[in-house]
Amino acid sequence: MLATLTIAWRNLWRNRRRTLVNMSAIGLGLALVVIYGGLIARMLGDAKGQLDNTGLGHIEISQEGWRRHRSTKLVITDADTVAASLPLPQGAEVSARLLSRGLLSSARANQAVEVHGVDWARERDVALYLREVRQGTVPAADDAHGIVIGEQLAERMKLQVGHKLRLMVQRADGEMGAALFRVRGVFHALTPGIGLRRVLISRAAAADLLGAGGGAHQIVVQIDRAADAPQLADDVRGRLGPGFEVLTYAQIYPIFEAMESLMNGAILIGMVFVYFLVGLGIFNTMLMSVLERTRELGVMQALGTRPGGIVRLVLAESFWIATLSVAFGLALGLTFTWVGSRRALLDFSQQMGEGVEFGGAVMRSAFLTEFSVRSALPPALYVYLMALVVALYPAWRVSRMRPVDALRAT
Amino acid sequence: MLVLLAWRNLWRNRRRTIITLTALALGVMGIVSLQSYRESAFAQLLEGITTQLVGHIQVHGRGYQEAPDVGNVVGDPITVEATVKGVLPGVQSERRVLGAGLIGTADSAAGAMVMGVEPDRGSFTVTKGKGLSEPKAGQAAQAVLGVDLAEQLGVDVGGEVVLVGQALDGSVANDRYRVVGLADAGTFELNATAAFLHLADAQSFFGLGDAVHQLVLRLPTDDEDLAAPLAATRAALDLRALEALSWSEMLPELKNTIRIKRQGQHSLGAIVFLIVGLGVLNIMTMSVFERTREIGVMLALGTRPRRVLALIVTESLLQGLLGLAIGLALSAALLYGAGSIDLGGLASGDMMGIRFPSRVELHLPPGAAISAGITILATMSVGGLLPALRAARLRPVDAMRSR
Repeated sequence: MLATLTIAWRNLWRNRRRTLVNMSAIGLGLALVVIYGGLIARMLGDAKGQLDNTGLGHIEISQEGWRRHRSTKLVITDADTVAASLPLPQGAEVSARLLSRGLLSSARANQAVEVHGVDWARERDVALYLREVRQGTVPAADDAHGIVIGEQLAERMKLQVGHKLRLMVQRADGEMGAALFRVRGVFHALTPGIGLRRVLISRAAAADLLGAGGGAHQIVVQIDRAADAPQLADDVRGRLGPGFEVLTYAQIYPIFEAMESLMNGAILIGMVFVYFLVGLGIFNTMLMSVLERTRELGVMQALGTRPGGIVRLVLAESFWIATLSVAFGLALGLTFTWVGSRRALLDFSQQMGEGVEFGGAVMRSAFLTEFSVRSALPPALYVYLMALVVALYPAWRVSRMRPVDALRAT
Repeated sequence: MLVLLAWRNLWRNRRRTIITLTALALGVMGIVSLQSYRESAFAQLLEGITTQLVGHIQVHGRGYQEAPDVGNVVGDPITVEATVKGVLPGVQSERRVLGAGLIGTADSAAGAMVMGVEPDRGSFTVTKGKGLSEPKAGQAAQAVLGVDLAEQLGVDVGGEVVLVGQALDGSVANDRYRVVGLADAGTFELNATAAFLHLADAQSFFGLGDAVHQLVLRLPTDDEDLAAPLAATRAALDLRALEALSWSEMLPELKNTIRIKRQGQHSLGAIVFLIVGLGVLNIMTMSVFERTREIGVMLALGTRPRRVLALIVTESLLQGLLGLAIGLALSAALLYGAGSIDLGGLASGDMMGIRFPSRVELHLPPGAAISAGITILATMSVGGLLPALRAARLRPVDAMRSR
């Protein structure tokens, strides 16, 4: 066996250029698959891991039925007690919110907005944009008239810190209610969807404005591992009992799952396509290299090498080509994904804005890659498998020849 | 003569040629189909934008796009409309009022984007009930709500909603409307926030008189480049008071997204053809190597090196053309055979506020075929040139002695 491998290795270098060209074609194909896979894995991971970008929770808890029409009346009255009693893992971040949709008016302009009544300190943990207040500050805890708005809204309505605004909402009793607020801070959001539509006031001010008493409409929980969300949702459901609705981010935004299956489909199609081209390349090269040596292989057979030995030799050559290609492809692919995991090789923030919103998920448009040796191994394995499978035909063909005919071939 | 010779040479090793052609055709098919899908989706997306909500070009009061102030209006829209129709033959124009209000039922309320539109101009697609009709005295004013807004408010066709807002003079405006229909407004954002009123009702709600905020122009063209009509519109208008913008100026992120996707397409194509090209290089090298002796004889009999070079490059290019033809035929069969593709699950996909069409009618745009053609011929010239140079430089004596 060792002898066969050694001979095969030597045979490979009898036509150095062919081997190198072939190897770079296959290696390039493999590298392409590895890089593409790394890019998509990171995208999915970021979309799930950084719900922070949009202030979404890995799980969200609300009163049964609230989600349907967002009726102001349906508050979790003892929200703080509920939040404190949750069976949460280490490092979980929790924020309770009163939510409403309303109309924000300045002297000349109006804008439909989503009002978040929050505890400033807790909300900072779950919403990236509240940690990115670029002008002014987050209001003090007892500030009943402070409002924080996004840069895009400030731009659209020509607002600055200190300006006065009127916020109109429907109160819990069904009547329209309004109150005056003063802009205390302007936050930077990754996407215009949030920057234009979301405004934040304190939970106490929201309770006052909505006539909702205390409590909260929604408790959001962010955890470190997105994969634990379904289990956590089950635990929380068990703890809270009926009357509550506990949903994971994937249930609220089906885009996360849809995106995963779409991306995986895209990877699969890309892989099949690249491997097909690569396979044809190996097939062609092996066939040529074998046919070119018909006579030599005939001599070997005439001298007593069994057909099985010829098949093994050809397969061994294919094995070496695959090994070289895989080494080259992995080196190239892993280098790219490693560098790409540190700094974005694909950075579209100039053209597309800092964030890309896709059905509720927000990703930074400077795309990083995931560096993972483990997920690069299956594609490498496929290259081996394919190299061996496609070499079978040339091997079988030449081993079947009668030595007499083979010797006569030119 | 040269081509004929090259053609015969190709079929001296039939299997090798077929393998090369398969690889080439597959490469072409993959790239062309993908690009065709993308371009078809873009074309459909743009058609949706231009024929529906956004239009090809919009005319506003100067500065309105930047900061949509309720008071920044086109004061005399009928005259402006007439002016624009004079310079853009066949244009369809729609006057529109835009504002915000709080819309509610007894039980639930939401901030809404109020749009006063002219009926039956295609601003939205009615999914349930009817569209707006001309207001009649003694009849309740009509509203059509975005489907998701109606769902959130828990109101259906036949229900009643109250709209509260701020009129131009700063007073509180307040009116009741009967919901006559639900609509798909083309984006998730709008489906969740848009309330469509008849233009006249919206003008009276906001106290605007005859003034409007937008003149939406829809052109009888599906050309992506609007530079000429845009320039004509601008030349005809008083730009001290008005502004004219194309859809791509109003939705710059969308325009950029499309550009980036096109660039991505090109780099993917380049890599695929690099892989194919390396394969071709190998095959051509081998084919030349095999014929070293024969080429030596040709040279010895007086064939000029340049002609040998041309012969081999021609062989390579012939394969390229054949592969291209087969690949394009396969792509066309695939695209028109499938007819359309439905991405179903991703129908909820919404990018930069614009919904990408979930069902895409497939076409093979000439641009995709042309760029594949250029790429493949370039690949084949380079792949064939290296071995051809080698063959042309052979010394007849050495060449004839080989094997």
